Amino acid sequence: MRQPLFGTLAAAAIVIGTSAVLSSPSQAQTRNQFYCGISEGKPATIVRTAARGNIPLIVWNNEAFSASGWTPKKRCEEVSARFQRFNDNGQLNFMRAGTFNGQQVLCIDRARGSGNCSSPEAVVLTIPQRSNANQILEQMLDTRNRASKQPLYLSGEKQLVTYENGDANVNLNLLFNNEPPDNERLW
Amino acid sequence: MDWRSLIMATCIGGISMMLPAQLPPAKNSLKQLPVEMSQQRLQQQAESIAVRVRSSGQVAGTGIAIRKQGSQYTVLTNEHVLKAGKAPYQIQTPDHKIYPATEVKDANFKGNDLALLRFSSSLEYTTAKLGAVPKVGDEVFAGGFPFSEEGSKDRGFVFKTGKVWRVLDKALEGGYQIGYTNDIEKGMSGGPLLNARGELVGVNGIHAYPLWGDPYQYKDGTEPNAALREQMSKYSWGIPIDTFKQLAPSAFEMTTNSLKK
Repeated sequence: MRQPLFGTLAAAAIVIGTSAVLSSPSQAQTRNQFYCGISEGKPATIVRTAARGNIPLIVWNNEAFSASGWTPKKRCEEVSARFQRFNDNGQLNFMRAGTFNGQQVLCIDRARGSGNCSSPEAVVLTIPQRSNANQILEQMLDTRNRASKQPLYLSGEKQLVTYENGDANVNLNLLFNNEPPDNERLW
Repeated sequence: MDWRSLIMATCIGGISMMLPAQLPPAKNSLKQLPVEMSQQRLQQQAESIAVRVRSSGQVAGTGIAIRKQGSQYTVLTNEHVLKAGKAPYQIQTPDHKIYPATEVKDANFKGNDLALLRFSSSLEYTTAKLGAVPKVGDEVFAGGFPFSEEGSKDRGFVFKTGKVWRVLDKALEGGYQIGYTNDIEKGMSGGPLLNARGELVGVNGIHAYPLWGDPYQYKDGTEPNAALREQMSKYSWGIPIDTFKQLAPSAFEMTTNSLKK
C-alpha cells in the first residue's frame, strides 16, 4: 500500500511495475465477457456473467459535444474491449487511479500508488477532470461483488463538458490549450 | 415424540398453509420469541422491515427499518449503498410511500460497511428484532430489492433461503464475516438476513461470483490464501448484526427484545 520512501527505490518500483504490467501471468480470471451494449437507452459497458446474467458496469452518458469523434458509443466500444483484454490477461485486479498524459485515468499498474500510468496501453479509461479519481476507482471496485446498484455514469466525450450539481462545465483548458491532436487517443 | 404433539403440529402446519398468500404486514406480532416461523411468515417478516434506499430518482439498494423513536425511524444499510448514490436520499417503505431521509452522521462504524439513515413518519412500520450471530449450517433468510437487467427498476421484494457456510473469526474488509448460500443479487445490499425465528442476524452486502478477480481481503490487510479466496467467491457475505450492536451510536438506545429485558 505504501509508497517507497527512497527515490531510487521508487524509481525501481515504477520500472519493475511498468515492465510487469503487460507481461504478468493471468490469475483469477473469470470467463465473464465485457461488451458494449445498451443500458437505460445509452451505450453501456456490460458484463455478461454465467452466474447472474448481464450487469451494466458503466453507462456512457450522451453529452452535447461529439465533435471530437469520440462519441459515447465509440468510447464504450473501446473501453469495453480494454476491459475484456485486461480480464483475459488476469490484470483487472491491478486497476489503479493515476495520471497519464496529464489526464486522470484508471489504469492497470502493479506498483500501487506510483501515481503514473506507464503507457497508453495500460489505460483503462480517462476520468472527467473535476471528478475524484479515487472515488471513481472505489465505485468501480465496489461493482465487483458489492450488491448495490449503480453502474458508473461517465461522459462519452473527451471531458470537454462535465456535470457538477446538475450544471454543465466546459473544460476551457482542454478546449483551448491542451487539446490533443486528433490522432492522439484518449479513452 | 408423543402422538398428541405430532397431531397438534400437523394441525398448526395445516392452518398456516391455509392463510391467504398476501397478508398485510404484521405489526408487533412477534412478541413471543423464540419460536421458529414458517417460511411464509419469515418472508412476511423480512418484507415488513425491508425498505428501498433511493437516490436521484433511482433505487440504490435495500435498507432495514431497525428502530422507531416517536415518529423517527432509523434505517440500517451498507455504506456502499449510500456511496453508490448521493444525498439527498429517500426511503421507500413497504407501503410504497417515499420519505426524505438524512444520513446519521454521528455513527462511526470503524470501517465496517454500515450506515444509518433517518426518516419521519406518523405511520406505524415494523422494525427488526435483533438476534445473535448464526452458526455454520443454520438456515438463514435474505431479503431485498434486486435490479432488473435494464437497470433502472427493481424487481420488487425478493426472498432467498439458504444456509450459513462459514462464520469467520477474522472479518473481511468492510466487516463481512458470515458466508452463506442464499443467492444475493445486485440491489439486495443493505437488506436483512434473518434466522429461523425471524430475528435480524446480519446485513447482506456481497454477492457470490465477483464480476472479476477475487476481491477477498481481511480487515487487517492480510489475504486468505488463493484456495480459500476461490471458495469464498462462491458464497454471499453479510455483516453480523453484533457488529452493529457494538458500534451503534450511544444516542441510539437499543430497546429491542433481544437486548433489553
